[in-house]
Amino acid sequence: MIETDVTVIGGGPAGLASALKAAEKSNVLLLERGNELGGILPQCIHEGFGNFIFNKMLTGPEYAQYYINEIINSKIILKTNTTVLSIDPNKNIVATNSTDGIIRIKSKSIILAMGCRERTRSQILLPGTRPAGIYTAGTAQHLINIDGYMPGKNIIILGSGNVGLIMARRFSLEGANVIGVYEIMPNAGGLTRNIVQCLDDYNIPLFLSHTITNIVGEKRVEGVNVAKVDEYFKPILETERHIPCDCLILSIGLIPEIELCKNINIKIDNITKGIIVDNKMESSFPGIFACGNIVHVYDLVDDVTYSAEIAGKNAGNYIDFERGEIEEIKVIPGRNVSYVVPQIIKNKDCNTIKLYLRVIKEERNVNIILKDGNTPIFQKKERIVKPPEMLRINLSKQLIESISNNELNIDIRCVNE
Amino acid sequence: MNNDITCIICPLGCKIHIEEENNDFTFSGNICSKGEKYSILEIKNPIRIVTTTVFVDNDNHRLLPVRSKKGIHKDLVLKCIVELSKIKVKTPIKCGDIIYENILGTGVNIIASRDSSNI
Repeated sequence: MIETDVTVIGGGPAGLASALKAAEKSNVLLLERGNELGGILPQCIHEGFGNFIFNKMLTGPEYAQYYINEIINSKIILKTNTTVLSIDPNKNIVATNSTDGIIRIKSKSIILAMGCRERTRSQILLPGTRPAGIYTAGTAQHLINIDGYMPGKNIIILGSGNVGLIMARRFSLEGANVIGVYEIMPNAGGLTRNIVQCLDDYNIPLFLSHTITNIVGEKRVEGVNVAKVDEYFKPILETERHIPCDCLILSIGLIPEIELCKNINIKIDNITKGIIVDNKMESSFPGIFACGNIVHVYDLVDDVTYSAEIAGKNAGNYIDFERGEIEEIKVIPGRNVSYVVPQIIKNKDCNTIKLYLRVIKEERNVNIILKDGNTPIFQKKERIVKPPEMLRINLSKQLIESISNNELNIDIRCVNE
Repeated sequence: MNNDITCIICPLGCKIHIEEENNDFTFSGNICSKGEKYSILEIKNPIRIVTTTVFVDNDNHRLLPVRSKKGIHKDLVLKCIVELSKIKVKTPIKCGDIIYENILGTGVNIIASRDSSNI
């Protein structure tokens, strides 16, 4: 039995930053399933990380290296190649690795930092045969950037999420022919920056309102059928055509990795599919904190790190006691708001709070309006809002203290409405 | 020369059309001053950070991620990557170490993006 103050599950950017922050005041144990730290960052060799935290554009491995060095120089106890098997309602953790066998851990608080995983073919019911040559974008990225193998020569990419766009460029640079990126939505799923620098720079076509209707091939992918979709995302049969290819890459979304939370009573958000947190990044289970992509899928690793530092600080300070009734403010998404994180504001005696929100549809010239119950208390103008671009709102201490209802409603409305 | 630029400064993603006459630029399209600056740079000297991997020996990994220390003209990106695919580097390597000096005579060095072994 290992006894510790804080156990961090997951050694990606969220786990690293939260462990470091918690270790300022407490004993910390960091558990990582893989053989090295950094999570997804070591395979994200492109630049574009750390603009906010380091004030420069770093590559993924560089961003991770900074935190890995800090961890190595800290007193944090690190176990790699270690898989957590369960967490029970008394916050006992069971983990395993090949040297220690079964490890039982008693921890005062826990930080969940398991990140997210990629959606697969079966989650979008993609029809066709089951040949070799179909990969998620992240798997292809690992094969090319870590293992040094090319997954194919003639590539079709389904979905225009950021990882898919980044991989379109990577495939081109490594000598493959990227035939096209097909996106079922009428808008691209990734950031404008990636559309320009990953597709336009390499003359890779992007087909909006298109999907794959069939995968063809017995042993190896031989091609796919693509078709336009109508406004209800139903394929228009007359537009269906066959495109030969030997590799299909899926970039069809990410979902928080919450499998381990199923034995304990932790509330999950229906929209984000991630853990519901308050402004201290504490879940609905006292003493269990969450940060990074297990809460919702962030656009930027910098924001993952910020969320992790909040979780780390509060998990490090956590003392188990009967808290009684605590005043809670629910943050409620309203017009054209898909979700808001954190979902709950507890203890108004906090400093500033950063709210993250995503919109449902693209709109121009809008106001983001915060309402204390029904009374508007804050307004921020945006020239454009788009689903792929997360919005941030900083709430001042003064504003938080002024909230008198137990509901904070958020609406996005066009300026002239 | 491509005179149509999609601005990447903000999520608006304005389509900017530029005309040049004797180093004098005229812009059309919905555009702010930041977009003007960006589009001039994209016309005159479009640069990109080059990122790729190189082979390493004696390590837990087959590959080491590397990057150009500064931006390189976008027409040279592929040539750089082809050049870097020919080399194999010896470990140990620290993040930031120079892996290849003055690539293609650009004056830009290629540096390591990570330590060769972290743990």
